[in-house]
Amino acid sequence: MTQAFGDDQFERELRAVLHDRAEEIASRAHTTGEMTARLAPRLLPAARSAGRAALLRFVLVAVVLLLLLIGALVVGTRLSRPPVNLSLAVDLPLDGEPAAPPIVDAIRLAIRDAHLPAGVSIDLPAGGVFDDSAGGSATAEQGADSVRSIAADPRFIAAIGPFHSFVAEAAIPIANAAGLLQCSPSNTGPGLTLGDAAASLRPRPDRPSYVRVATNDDAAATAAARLLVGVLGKQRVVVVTTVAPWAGGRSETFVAAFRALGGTVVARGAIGDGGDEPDAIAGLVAASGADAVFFDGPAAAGGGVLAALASRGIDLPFVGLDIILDGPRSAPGSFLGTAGAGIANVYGVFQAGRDAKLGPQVEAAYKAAYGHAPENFVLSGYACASVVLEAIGRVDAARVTTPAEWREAIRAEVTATGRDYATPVGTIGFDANGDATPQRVSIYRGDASTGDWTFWQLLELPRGT
Amino acid sequence: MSGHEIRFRVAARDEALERDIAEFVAAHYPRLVRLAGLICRDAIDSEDAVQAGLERAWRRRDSLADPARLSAWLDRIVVREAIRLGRDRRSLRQRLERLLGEHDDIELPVAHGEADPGATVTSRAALRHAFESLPAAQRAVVALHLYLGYSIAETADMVGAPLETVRSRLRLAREQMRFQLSEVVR
Repeated sequence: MTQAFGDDQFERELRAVLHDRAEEIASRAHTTGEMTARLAPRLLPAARSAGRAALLRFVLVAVVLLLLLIGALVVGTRLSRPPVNLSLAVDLPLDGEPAAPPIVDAIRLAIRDAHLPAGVSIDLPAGGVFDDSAGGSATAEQGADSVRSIAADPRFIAAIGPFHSFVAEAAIPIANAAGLLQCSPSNTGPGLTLGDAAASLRPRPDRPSYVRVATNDDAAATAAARLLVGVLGKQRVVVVTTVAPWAGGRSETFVAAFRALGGTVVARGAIGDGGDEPDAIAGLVAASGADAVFFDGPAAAGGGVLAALASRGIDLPFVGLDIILDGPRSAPGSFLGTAGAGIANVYGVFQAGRDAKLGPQVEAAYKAAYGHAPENFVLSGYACASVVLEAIGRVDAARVTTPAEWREAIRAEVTATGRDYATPVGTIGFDANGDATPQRVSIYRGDASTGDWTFWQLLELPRGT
Repeated sequence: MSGHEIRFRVAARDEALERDIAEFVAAHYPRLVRLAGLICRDAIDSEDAVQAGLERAWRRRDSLADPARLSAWLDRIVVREAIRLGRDRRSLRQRLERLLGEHDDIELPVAHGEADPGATVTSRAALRHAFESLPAAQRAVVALHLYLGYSIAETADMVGAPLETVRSRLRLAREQMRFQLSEVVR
């Protein structure tokens, strides 16, 4: 025993004191029997519940172990899978079409912002950006060659493009035969998705491979008619086009839709090669008693008509399709640049929607990333990439391994009907033909104060229109 | 199994549990109440500390890995409970003093029959008074080390304090008790 106090006598005395005090306390405290009687009622329920608690603990531990086992299996399975690196390809007219390079930028932006499943990555390699232009403009042959190259390279799971409908006519059969998904941000030709023309482009109709986020020309022309009648309340229109049918004759679709809505075409004018001068068209409008003008022709010619109308003091709603949306007043030879000051009553129908939330977000992100405002098809390019990226997330990664399996899984997922994709041009799906559904257009209006176009409102066409 | 049989089995199990509890209390209560009595100021606090300690130990008895360490485990639980009670009493006294000023007549209820150092000034009574004047934490290390014979390392483990702290508490306790004894003698 340690001599804590360094003094045997002191320590002995202290021990005796401790002993005396301990015994004195014990003599005053309850006896063992009394303490047992006091404690038993408190300890007995605890003892009874101990068995139940033990059982509960056992069950709890078993459940936790089971969950851990399942988690380990799932994580182990994922971890044991090698990382998946996918590549996207682009087929656009990079030389000669100013709207095309910004689409590539938009696609890169979408890839940067993508939330892909764990273990899956995607890129747009330099070798995946194909130029379908030759000699300064897009050619169908070049587009076909591009798609052939993309289809032959197994690392490419999908292609975004083409830009022009006439290139798509050459590219769709090749992609369809190869089972390669194409998503076009800008094709609007009705024959790519509708009727016999579309059917002839698909050697494997059982395996659809083409979708587009742009609204087709028929729908856009119909939307223009609905804008005039339903929104602006106009019933008498002068239709101004080129002599030869413009862009697949969509002015005829407009006329049919306008009449179907109760409107009347009071006069028709032709402009451009073989047609009249703008002032003559303005005179026709003035004499017709029209309350609006529908225009579908070269942008600068349309601007000339508007300027001629203004010089005669005529201020009527002037509605055109996407061709007049070719930049601000400051752009040389543009519609607004030719039209002069009176542009407040001008409406341009753009063949894509604009999501109220994602649209401005992507526009802001694009501006932040590239230092300038997004061009016309930036949102549509981003939308195509969003569709492919979203589809990657929906593919059951446990069932696909090879690049070819990924390509097929993504094609099947995107072309399946009844799916929804959140994109900056709105939440869209695709119908069996590959057209976006619902069909939406964005109405832009001339802004005299800025000399540029401003988004005005969205029009969504009823399904089946 | 019939309802009667279930009731019979439950009753039999309860009887067995009651026997276990009685054995548990009988085996440890006498030692524990004496240990707590050295740390607490009176028998009531001692009983409270032991009762709380036994209840806690009974509920957690399955967590004790080595049954041979049951006594030491119980001692530790009761000692810590007793120190806590001692501190609570002390802080209650300090709070009252702060509220009312320092008055000699502020007394917390204490057990009757506590030694009165002024009455019989024998050396043992003075030593007892000196011991009772120590803070609870110092009384605990003195009791564990000198009364129950735990080593300083075991004592440190019991009170949950570092070794040096325990040594320091023992030294301070000795100095304070000797000081008080010298005051009494003078």
